[in-house]
Order: sequence, then structure tokens, then C-alpha cells
Amino acid sequence: MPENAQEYKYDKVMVVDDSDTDLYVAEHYLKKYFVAANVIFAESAAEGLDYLLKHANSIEQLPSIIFLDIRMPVMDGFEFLDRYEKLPSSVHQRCTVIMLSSSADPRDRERIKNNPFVKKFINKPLNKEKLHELVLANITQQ
Amino acid sequence: MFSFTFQNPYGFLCAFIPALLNLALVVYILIFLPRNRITNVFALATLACALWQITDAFVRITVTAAAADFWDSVLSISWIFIGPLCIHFTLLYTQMIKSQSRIYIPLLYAPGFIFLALYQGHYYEHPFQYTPFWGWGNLHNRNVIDIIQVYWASVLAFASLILLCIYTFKIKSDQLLKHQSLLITIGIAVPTITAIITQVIFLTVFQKPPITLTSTLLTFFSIATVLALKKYKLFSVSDLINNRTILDSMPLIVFSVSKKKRITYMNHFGLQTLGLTMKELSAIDINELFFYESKDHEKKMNEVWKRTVEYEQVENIESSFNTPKGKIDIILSYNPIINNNKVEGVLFTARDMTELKKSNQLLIKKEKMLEEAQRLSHIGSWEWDVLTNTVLWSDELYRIYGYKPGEIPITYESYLQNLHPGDREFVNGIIQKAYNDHQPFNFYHRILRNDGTEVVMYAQGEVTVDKDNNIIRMTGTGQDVTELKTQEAILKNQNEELQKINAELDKFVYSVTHDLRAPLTSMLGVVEIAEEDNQDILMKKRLTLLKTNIRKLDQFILDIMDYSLNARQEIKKEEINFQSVLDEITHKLKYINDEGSNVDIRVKIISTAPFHSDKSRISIMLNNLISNSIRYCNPKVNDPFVEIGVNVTDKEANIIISDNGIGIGEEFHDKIFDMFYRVSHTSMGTGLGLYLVKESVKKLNGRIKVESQKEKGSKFSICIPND
Repeated sequence: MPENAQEYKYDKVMVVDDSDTDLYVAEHYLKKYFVAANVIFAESAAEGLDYLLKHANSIEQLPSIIFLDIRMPVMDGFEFLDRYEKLPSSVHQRCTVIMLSSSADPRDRERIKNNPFVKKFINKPLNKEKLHELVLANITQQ
Repeated sequence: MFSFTFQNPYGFLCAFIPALLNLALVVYILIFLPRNRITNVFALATLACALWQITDAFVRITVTAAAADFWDSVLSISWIFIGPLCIHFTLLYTQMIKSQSRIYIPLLYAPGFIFLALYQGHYYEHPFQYTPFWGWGNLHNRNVIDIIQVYWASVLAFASLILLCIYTFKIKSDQLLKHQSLLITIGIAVPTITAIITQVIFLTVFQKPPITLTSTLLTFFSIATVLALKKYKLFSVSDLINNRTILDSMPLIVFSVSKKKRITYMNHFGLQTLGLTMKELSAIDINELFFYESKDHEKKMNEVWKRTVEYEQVENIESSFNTPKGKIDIILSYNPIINNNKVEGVLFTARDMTELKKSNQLLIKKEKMLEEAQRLSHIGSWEWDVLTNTVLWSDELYRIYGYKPGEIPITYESYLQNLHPGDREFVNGIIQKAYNDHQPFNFYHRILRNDGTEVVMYAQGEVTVDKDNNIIRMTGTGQDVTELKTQEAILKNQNEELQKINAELDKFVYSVTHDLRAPLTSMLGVVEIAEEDNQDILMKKRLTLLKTNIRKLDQFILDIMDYSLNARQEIKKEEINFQSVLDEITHKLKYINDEGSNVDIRVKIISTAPFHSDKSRISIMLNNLISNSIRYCNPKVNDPFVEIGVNVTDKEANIIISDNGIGIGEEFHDKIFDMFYRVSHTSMGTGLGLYLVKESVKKLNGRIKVESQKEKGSKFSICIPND
């Protein structure tokens, strides 16, 4: 296992996306390039919020990075962010939100720019170079 | 007779020195005071005083009583007429006699001549007495005539004094006139009272010859009066300006005609207007001057002449003159010249109406034009005279309100009554506000026409105030904008609808773009993983082909989105930072192909002013051109590059994008900007990129130029206005 050879940068990373394929791709890269030891999947925004709320008091269980898709059925990425704002501050302190989307709508970009929790926007698909750049930028809270 | 003694010169000096002063004053009056009847009589009175003083002076120093009698008689005219002159002056000064009546003159002076004749003819004795100090003096005897003469003179002088006192007392408002009159009163009072004491009381009561005090104080009257007239210049205009000056300065044609219809006088203005000289005029019969339009007209004019000669004043007769300058339209007044109760001729005053007639016709024409303009544009005008609360409406305003022009009188209240009941309070509020703050106003409101239909009006108005800031009137316009308002409402509705559709369309485009791209990007992710993990060369090649096509499809979807947005979206101006726009683009282009491109992107920005334009379209332009340069780089060159030069001035931005890529053959330059045009089937593009560039440039009112040679590279020059 690569665990023995190299240390993972983060213990936990969450990916919120309704597409199984995208979840798979994300997990693949996060694991392969030692970014996250554990990838928490949330197939909907609600699921992601539930997890965060449930573990709000146990910091170790919280993800360092949340990769968030924008266009999702029922609750989209922005609604997720609205609710995320109301979560306990322990969550805000621990987690960094990164948008991962294939949206080309400039208004989405604008809204992201104005949101204090989102640190970056990444165009899908996630790949080696984009991940590398992200890790180098070292944008998480710690 | 001519021998004098200067043993007792006091009486002589007391009279002679003031006499010289008086003579000097006479000269002064004649030279320096304005000439009128008052100053004329005043000069005569002063001269009489001087002569009286001279007589008195010589009488005092004669040697014998006979000699004294001779000197007294020589200039006795002076003291005999001093009374009438005094009252004459007073009557003129106090304006108690009409200037025209002359009947009082003989009445005033006639007794003087009788007294003079009786005195000169020695009808009664002239007893002279010598007093040691004063010399000879006339000791009036008790002859009746003599006594009457003395009392007559005294009464006239005293009457003058009383008249002046009354006159002075009656002056209330004019302080200047009061001062003048008071000074003259004192000037007359001093010698008069002295004379009554020395000449009358001394003589008749004490039988003493008069002393020279009266003679001395006579000068007091002249000095006081000259001072009064000089200091308080109250001469009437007619004293200062003669009639001819007045007539010549009037902008009126004034001329007099004798009863025989010869022109005897015409003022300067008249001669100028008619273009005639007095010489030419005197030979003209009045009938030659008048231009008669018809026999009736001539008859009418002759009748007016007859009426005037019968003492009647006739005004405002419209007529015309024949002049060397041509026909002149006039309005005439006929005034009988009455002298000594007889009509001596006719004084005509005429106003030149030619210009007025012309401007009147122009005014009528302009009024018609205004009326026409109001009718065509459905604008009525109004004027509210606040003081009388009357409102003047133009004909069109009446029509807008559904009335015949002038059908009903309008006041502020009846105006409010014609408004839509729902708007009355609102309109009243606006008018009241303007009434108080005097500011111009405009507003929309509804009215109910006379036939009950509703009309939407646009009202504008302003307030006129006097110099004390009191409101005098309001004026303004009212325009029937019913049709305009209806169309405006329809347009507004349609616009809102259109905006809604547009927004929905935007949303649709973005959603479709996303939904089409989402599976593609997922596919791309999986293909990339597969490619990375697979060592089989053949498989790797197949996966690369797959990837290239997925990317091409993705680009095509993005281009279609850009096309759709560029065609429809409004231009949104904002300040553009070229550096950050280019940073974003180059960052995105990093992942244009697998290995990352090895094309060197060189950016050079020179900016002397902030640049304002539509950011999304500038981005589309730059993105497409730079990505083309990277995509079509020449694999044969060692140092592939794309150079982006931006030069911003306050007028425009010049953008040059040049590369050393594979270039475009000159034969294709005309077509590369066409939609879906691709230079070769091997090209990786969608055929939309340069079309989008051209369309974006067009939307921003810019220009684009291409220079390119196969195998050498391409250069695109764009110029976008800065606004």
C-alpha cells in the first residue's frame, strides 16, 4: 500500500457530487497522489451537510477539504454553502471549500468570488496537474 | 436842479448803494435766470425798486425843495408802479391766475397811470421837507388823491404778502417749494412792513418825512427772491424748454393747418417721416397730402375737418399720406386750434402705423402658426392670472377638454372641476406647491372630457413673480398624451416580457451547456485515468484519440454557448484590467492538451488610461485568438510563442496577437471569419472561434485585421474603442 511509502497530506477529504463517475475520478486522484487517506463521498448536498453536522464536535472526523459541485439535483452547491454558513464554527475552522464544477456560467464564478468560504474554483475533470497545483498552493486552514 | 450838496450824504448812501446792487441784480436776472413770465415780471419789479432807490437817493441830496420835487417826479413811475408789479409777480408765482387770461393786466396797472398823470401834472402839491440828517423827503400832504395812491400801493403790497403767506401755508408735501415760497414771502414782507411804517404811519400819523429805510430794504426783496429762485430750482418744464423743442422731440407727426387748408407748421419728426422739407410743405394743400382710398373716404375726411372747425376734437381716424417715400399708414387726431375763442386752424397729430400694421400682420400669421402647431401636436397652452383668478386657454386646450374654443370661462376652480376626480387632490397639491415655492413643475394627470372620456395629460408650468416675489401668474402647457401613454404601457409590457424571456434563455443556455458538458467531463476524467494507468501503446493511442475528440466536442459546446450569448446579451460596460483577464485566460489554456503546451505566452501591456468595455466579449476575443495560437503552433520551430501586445489610450485599445505558428494561407484570409469555416479537415477547431472573435469585435464597434503567411505565423490586430 502506498501508505507505507509516502505520507498522505490530509486525513480526510470530502467530495460532494451527484455523479458517480466524478466521485470515482476524484477518489482515484486523491488516493493515487497521496492527497487524502480517506475520501468521504456525499452523493447529494444534504448528505454532505448531514455528515458535517453530525461530526461538528469531533474535529478528527471532519474533512480538511470539501470538493463541491455546483449543479446537483434537489439542493445545489450554493444552497449547500448557505446552509454551511449556519453550521458550527468548528466546521468552518476545520474545512476548506473548493468548487469543482463544469459550469461555464460567469454568474456562478461571480457568486463564488463573493463567498467567503470558497477558496478556489476548479474546472472538471480533476486531473494530476490541477491537483498538484492545489496541493502546492497549500490553501487549507492548517 | 443839478446842484447837489453832500453835507448830509447818509440818506443818499442808504438809497444809492442798494440801488446799484439792484441794478446789478436786474442784469443778473436777465442773463442767468430762466426766462418766463415770472422772471420777467420779477426783473421789472427789481428795476422799479432800483429806480425808486435812485430817485430817493437824488432827492436826499438836492439843494432846494423844487429840485427835490423835480427828481422825485422824474422817476415817480417807479414807486407808483411798485404795488402792481408786486401783486403781478405774486399772482404769477402763486399761480392764482390762469396763464391765458390777460384781463387782469389793465386792471392792475390802469390806476397807476392815473396816479402818475395826476402826480406829474401837479394836481396836488408836493410838499418836501428837509431833515438835518436824512436830507429832503416827500412829506405827503392830505390831498385825497395822494392818500388814495399811498393806500392803494400799500394795499397791493400787503395783499401780495397775504397771498404768499396763504400759498406757503398751503404747501404740504413739497418741502423745497415751501422753503422757496417762505424766502420770497420774507423778501416781500420786510420792505412792505417797513414801507407801511415809514411811508404811511410816519407820514399820516406823525407828519414826519420818510426816512430812506424803505429804499434800502427794497434790495432785500430782490436778493431774497433771486436766492429763492436760484437755490430751489423749481422752474416748470415749460419755462426751461420751449414748445418747439417739445414738438420736435416727440415721436409723432405734428402739424398745423390754417383754415384755408395750408400747412403752417410741421415738427421735425413729421418732416423726417414724410421725407419733406418745410419749404416744400408750405406749398402743399392738405388735400394733396392725404391719400384717399375712395370717394367715400374723402367725404368722410372732409366731414371730420368740418367737425373740427366747429370746435370738436376728433381722434383715431385711420388714414394714409402720400409722401415722396410712398404711402404711409397713419392714425390721425384732429384738434381745433382755438385762440381768443375762435378756431384759427387745426392741429393734427398722427402716428405712423406702417410698421405697426406690418408687425400686426406678422403677429396674426404667427398666432395662426402657433394655433396650427398646437392643434397638430395636441398641446394646449394656458395662462392663469392669479390676481383676478382668470384662466386663459388656447383653442386647442379647449378642444382637448372637449369644449368649443372659448365655450366656457375658466377659473382655477373650474379647471379642477374638469380633472379626473381621482387626480384633483394630487394636481391641487402640485399647483399649491408651485404657488408657494415658485418653482417650475411638470406632471402627468387624467382629465374627464366634456363627453365623459378619460384623457391622459402631460402638464408643464412655471410661475411669474413681481419684484417683491409676489406671484402674478402661472403659465404652462397641457398635452394630450393618451395615445403615447397607451403605447408606452404596451412597450413597457413587451419589454418586460422580452427581458424575462431573455433571462430564461440565458438560464437555458447555461443549463444546457452544463448538462451537455457534465457527462463529457466525467468521460474525460475516466479516459485520463485509463490512459495514465495503461502501459499498452496501442491502447494508449486509442485513448488519446478518444480524449482529443471529447475535448473537441466540449470546445464546440462552449463555442455555441458563447455564440448564443454574444448574439443576444446587452453590452455591459465595466473597467477592464487586461492583466487579470489575460492571466485567467492563460491559466485556463494550460490544460488545452495533455503535456501542457510548450508555447511561450508573452504579454506586454502599455496602459495610459483606464479601459472600459464589455468584459465577457473581450475575453471571448482574446481566449479564441490565444488558444488558436497555441493550438496551431508550428512543431518545426524551436521556440514557439504567442505575443500579446495591448496598448490602451483614453480613445481606444489596440491589441495585437502574433505568433510564429503554422499560419494561414493568404487565399483563406477572406473566409476565416465565416461561421463554421475551417481551413482544413485536419484542423482541430470548431469553425466558430474566429467567427465569434469577429462578432464580438463588431458588437464593440471595433475593427480587426489579419496578416498571416503559411509557415511563418499570424498576426491579428484589433482596435476597440474605449468608452
